[in-house]
Amino acid sequence: MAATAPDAKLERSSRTLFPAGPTQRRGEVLLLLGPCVLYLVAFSVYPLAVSLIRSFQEYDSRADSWTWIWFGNYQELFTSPEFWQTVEHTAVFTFGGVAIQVVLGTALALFFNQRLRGSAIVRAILILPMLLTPIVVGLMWRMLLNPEWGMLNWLAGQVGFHNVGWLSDPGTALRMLIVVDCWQWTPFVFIIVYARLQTLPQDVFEAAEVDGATWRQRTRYITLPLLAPAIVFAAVFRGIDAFRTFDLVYGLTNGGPVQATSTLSFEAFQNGFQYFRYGYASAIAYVMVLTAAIGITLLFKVVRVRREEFA
Amino acid sequence: MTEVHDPQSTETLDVIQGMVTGRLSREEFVKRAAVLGFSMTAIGSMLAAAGKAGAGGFGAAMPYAGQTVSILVAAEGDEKGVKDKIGTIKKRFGIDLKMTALAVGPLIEKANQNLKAPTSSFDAMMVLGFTVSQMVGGGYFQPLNNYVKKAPKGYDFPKDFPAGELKYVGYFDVKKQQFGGRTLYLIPGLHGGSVVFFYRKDLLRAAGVKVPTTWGQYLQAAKKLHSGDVAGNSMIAKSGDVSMFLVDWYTRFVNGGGRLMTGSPQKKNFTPRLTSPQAVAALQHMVDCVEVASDGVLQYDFTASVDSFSAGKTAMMLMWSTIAGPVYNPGSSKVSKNVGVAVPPAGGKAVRGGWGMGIPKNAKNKDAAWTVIAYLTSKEWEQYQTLKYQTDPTRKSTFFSPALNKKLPYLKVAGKVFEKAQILEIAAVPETFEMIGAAAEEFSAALSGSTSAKEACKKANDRWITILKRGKHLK
Repeated sequence: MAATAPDAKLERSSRTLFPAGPTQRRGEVLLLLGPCVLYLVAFSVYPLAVSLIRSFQEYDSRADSWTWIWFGNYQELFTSPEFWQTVEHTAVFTFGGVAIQVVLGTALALFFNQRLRGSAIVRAILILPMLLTPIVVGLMWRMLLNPEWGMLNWLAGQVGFHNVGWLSDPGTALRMLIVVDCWQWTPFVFIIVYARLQTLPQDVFEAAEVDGATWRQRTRYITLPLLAPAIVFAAVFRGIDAFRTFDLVYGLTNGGPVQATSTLSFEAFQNGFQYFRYGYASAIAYVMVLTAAIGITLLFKVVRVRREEFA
Repeated sequence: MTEVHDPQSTETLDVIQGMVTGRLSREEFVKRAAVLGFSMTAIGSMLAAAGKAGAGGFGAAMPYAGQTVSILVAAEGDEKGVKDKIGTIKKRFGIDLKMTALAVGPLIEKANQNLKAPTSSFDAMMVLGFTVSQMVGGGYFQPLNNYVKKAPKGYDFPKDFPAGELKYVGYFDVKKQQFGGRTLYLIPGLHGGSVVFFYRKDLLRAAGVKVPTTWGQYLQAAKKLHSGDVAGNSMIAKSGDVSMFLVDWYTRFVNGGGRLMTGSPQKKNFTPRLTSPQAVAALQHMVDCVEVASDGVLQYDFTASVDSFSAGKTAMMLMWSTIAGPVYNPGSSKVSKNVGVAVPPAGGKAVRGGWGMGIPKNAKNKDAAWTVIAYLTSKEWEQYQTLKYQTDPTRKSTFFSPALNKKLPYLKVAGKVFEKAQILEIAAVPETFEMIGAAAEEFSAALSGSTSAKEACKKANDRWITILKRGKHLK
């Protein structure tokens, strides 16, 4: 189709403004991508590169000097029993917490999808914890769990459990940390899954109902497979977040008692900012980065395989 | 003698204005006024009128008028007294004081960043005793020997400061990396302190219990005083809390005859003795005391412990004297009239606490900063601060002031402990905090009943050895 007069004029003028030659095109690309690349280099690549270098060095706070010790920090890390304890706590916290949140969040979404009376208000209340900052949540729960005047101990006392050391007993502290994390972040899974539920095609459910499928069968064979991408997204997002949790630990338990709730992030913070072992802390951070990268890659591979199976 | 100057001339006005605003020092004014032909009588009258007739004291000259001095202080009560006197500092010295107050952790971080920067944002900063070796030992502070010679009249240095505190947060030998020496880097302040023993006079009297003077008596008294309403004793037992180690464990340990280390970092044979019988006994005593403490004691930091005492829920506690002052304040304490205080049982020894204030080498306004330091470590400011905010002083004259002791009876006891308090042996290495934290973590396992006192001490000892070897203080 021949171009109209105004179109031709526009084409001409745009050609003048944005010449299409290969050199000019490169210029345009650089101009458009430049700020973004600069931003990434300044705020992501450079700090990552520096911290990688630091992880092979040791910092002397007295002399303010760095010494190359190559794999010294990593060697110390992998031979330290405290580090492996921390890895264990992080794994239990991440997998335990996220598993509970996914199950609970999905169950809540399915429940609220029934559109019961008053559910809109309850739904709004349900997401409130998510709006609080984790440090505030930590401090608030520390008060609730106070063995002397905390509300939870009072409630426990009513049913015959007296003086429970929720946060002072190494056996229960990590569990309480998971409980508090679930309290705050289950609503996140709920929102994601609930939103996905609203977009599911209704004809499939109607057809299943006509075919005589029970609620349980519909949920097992239709709802959950259709919800899978949303559940996986929520789990991955929460998994990454839980893996690097610091503020909740800092506010609630400060890593104690006896390092029973010390996670990798907390260990990195303690070494870096309290003991000025920046090199060692960088090594911990790099172990975390690599673990997260490997974990996510594997997870997405599994998810892709499962999706192909469904297809 | 005839006056030859013209009172309206520019030079004359400039000189007079310079003196009044503080641009010119007293000496400079005298010199310039004499050149202009002022008589000595006129010069004297003008100095008197401007309130600068005295040779010393804080009313001297205002050579730094118009300058801004930035200081970094600990948010442990000191900041309140400093804030109150910002106006006084401006009025007396013409200096605009900018203060940043931070909690210990962030303060150390901020101080370290500034000391290592090309120019420090702070002209003066407080240094915690346990970080002196790291900060002053790194050579980041300006020697104050020449400054202190110019201190105002009545500053009373070094006579009014306990010798132990001057050795700890005053003098440092950078070459040998040791406390003491001849170079003065810090002035003790803005608060000091050590550990004292607080008890409820009324409860002890009612139970017919004498003030404990041995650890055995302390435990017996705690058992006798323990009831449903009041805990027999309290302690800092929160996992990893450095004060658990310093206040509760170390006081028991050192008064039980314990010695924390052998050898020295310089000889690379700095060896911990956390498995010694005294170390285990001190921890075991704490474990026994937990049985007669409140249910929540394992989460107590020093604030919680003091609050519980102030609320009338605790009969006895060992505490940093600088933290516990408010138990005497009727506004914050239900038991203010029944508080008794004594030196720690079995010897009255405790760890030396406290801060020093110094000028970073890379500070911009060193001379003006000294003026501020001299004021904030003066008798005048310290007495004001102690009386109003009950933080511990560092000067003997404040600790033993009869007027202050009338209102704060713990002061002279705190002063006695402070005089003979001892520097923590591991304060000489930069890893002090890491070591204290590691021990406090392991000790909390014993306090919670997850392990024995002996096992916890062994684990703490092993961690110390690892840290000391890494820091090359032990081969």
